[in-house]
Amino acid sequence: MVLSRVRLIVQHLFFIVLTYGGRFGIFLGSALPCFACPYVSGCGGHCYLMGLQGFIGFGLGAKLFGIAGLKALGYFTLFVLLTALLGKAWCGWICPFGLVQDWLAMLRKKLGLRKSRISSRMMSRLAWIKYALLACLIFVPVLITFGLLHPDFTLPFCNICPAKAIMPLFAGDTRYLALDLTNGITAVFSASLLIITALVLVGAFFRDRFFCIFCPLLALIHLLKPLTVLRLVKKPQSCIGCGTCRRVCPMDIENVYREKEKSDIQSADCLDCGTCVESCASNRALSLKWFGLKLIESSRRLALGLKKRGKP
Amino acid sequence: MVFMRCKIMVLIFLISVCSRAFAAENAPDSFIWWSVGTGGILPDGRFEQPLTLETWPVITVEQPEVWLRVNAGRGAAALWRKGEWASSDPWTLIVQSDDYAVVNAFARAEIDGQSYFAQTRLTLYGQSKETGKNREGSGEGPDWPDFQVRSNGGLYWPQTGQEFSVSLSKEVQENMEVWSGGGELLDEMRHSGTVYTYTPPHDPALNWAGTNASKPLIFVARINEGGAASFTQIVHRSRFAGLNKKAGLTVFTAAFLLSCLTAVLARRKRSWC
Repeated sequence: MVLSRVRLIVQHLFFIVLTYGGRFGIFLGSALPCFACPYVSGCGGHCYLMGLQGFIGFGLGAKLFGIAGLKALGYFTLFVLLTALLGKAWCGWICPFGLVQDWLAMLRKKLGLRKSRISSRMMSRLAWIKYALLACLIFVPVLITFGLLHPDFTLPFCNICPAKAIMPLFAGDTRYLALDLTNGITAVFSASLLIITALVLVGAFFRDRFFCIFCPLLALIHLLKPLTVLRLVKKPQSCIGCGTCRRVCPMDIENVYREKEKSDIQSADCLDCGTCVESCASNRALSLKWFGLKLIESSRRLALGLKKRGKP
Repeated sequence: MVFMRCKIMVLIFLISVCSRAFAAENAPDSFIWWSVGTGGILPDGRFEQPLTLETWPVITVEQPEVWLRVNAGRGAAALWRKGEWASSDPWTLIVQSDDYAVVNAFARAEIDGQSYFAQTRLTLYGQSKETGKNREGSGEGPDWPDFQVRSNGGLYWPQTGQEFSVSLSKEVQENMEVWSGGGELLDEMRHSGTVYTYTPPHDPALNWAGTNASKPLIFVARINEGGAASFTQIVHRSRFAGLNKKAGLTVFTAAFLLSCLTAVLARRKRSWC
């Protein structure tokens, strides 16, 4: 069975667990490094971003040195541990919102439409957005804590996160598709949420994993890169420079192809999905390593197997 | 001269005592109520909630009694214990809970020989490891008027626009009243049999005050035995009243169509397949 098929099965299993798990008593915690949306009633785990914003927002100063501070530290430690163990595989293999984007990409492929590519120049121009969002979701709650912003700015990222509008639909909840006219701030937030959701849905149809370009969680995981034990590794001397890795990458990453010296090719946008590894026809040129152990290695046989199945 | 001054002082004292008694006796609106302060988690994980006993009209009450009925943990039996005032001017009670607990705070004060009662219900989210205090107390408490307040529709977050059902363990003289924290009679409750209902209207000021902001509503019952009993219910802004699905879907569809159009225009010079 090829890697992409295994990945699809794993993604679907986690989608079911993280979306409906709570209904069966499964709860994987509130520090998950993926978009397991807490707004889905009966979900099986919570995205860490909500906990992070919530802790900062609901009285940072008073809580920092108390039991609540310890609890928040515990959640952060758990998040770091989970990230260290699986790295970006949380995005490529587990994230339920990532799977929703993959479904749209599959639909596009079924319709026979070509994917829209984003040039590396454009990608580097857009790269700052996810770090800016990450900074906002940390600093806005701090401003609320010190009374410099209205309390309706609480959970600023959740208020505009497209997963909040889309994921609850799988639990039959259409509440977040409504415009919240309670006051001006909620109206602006809910309108922004709906506009961003529409943009992301259209974007994810034309371009694989469109939202991941802007995802602050991906940025946060990347900041913990030195601790992660899952690595995408290249042997430059084995690479024949065919460019398949660049062509198949859902994130349009070029440095896997361009890197001619270093073996560490993990970039900020990489999802550790392994598509480049299974598509590479150069023996041992690319590999995914976990604790130094090779999980999968590129080979001519694997790539030919893919080609027989109609993949590039 | 000194005798004259003494006479004036005695006169002032008598007028003040009489006017208080007169106010209490002739103001059928008299009641005492709990004002719920801002609670929060202490560094050791205990949850602390201050309560202040207020009167309407504003008069001084002597040594009111206070009892707490604590339900610690889901499904646990209710335990009664006597409360202790943290200060007497105003009468302030600090309710603390080590772990999760639902606490009913009861107070009784004598005004002009009549008993007046106040009650409120607090949900305290304590996070401390030590959970002994909530398990202290006895199964027996005073036979005071006991309000049962339920939110119809099963919403755990009390909010405006949501109907409350209220019943009292003692016989009520007439309709129950609803008062604001500022001493304004807002409404009279409707009732069928012994169950009274009230739906607080939406409040624009509360809508602008943030999700956690709240205001007190005081349900007041004049009891047959004399005096009055009150229940302080905290309400937040409605979480649902402002939601407009039609407007939301319109915004979403417009944004979706615009994005599609932009994507199509951006790809018009490239091949689609």
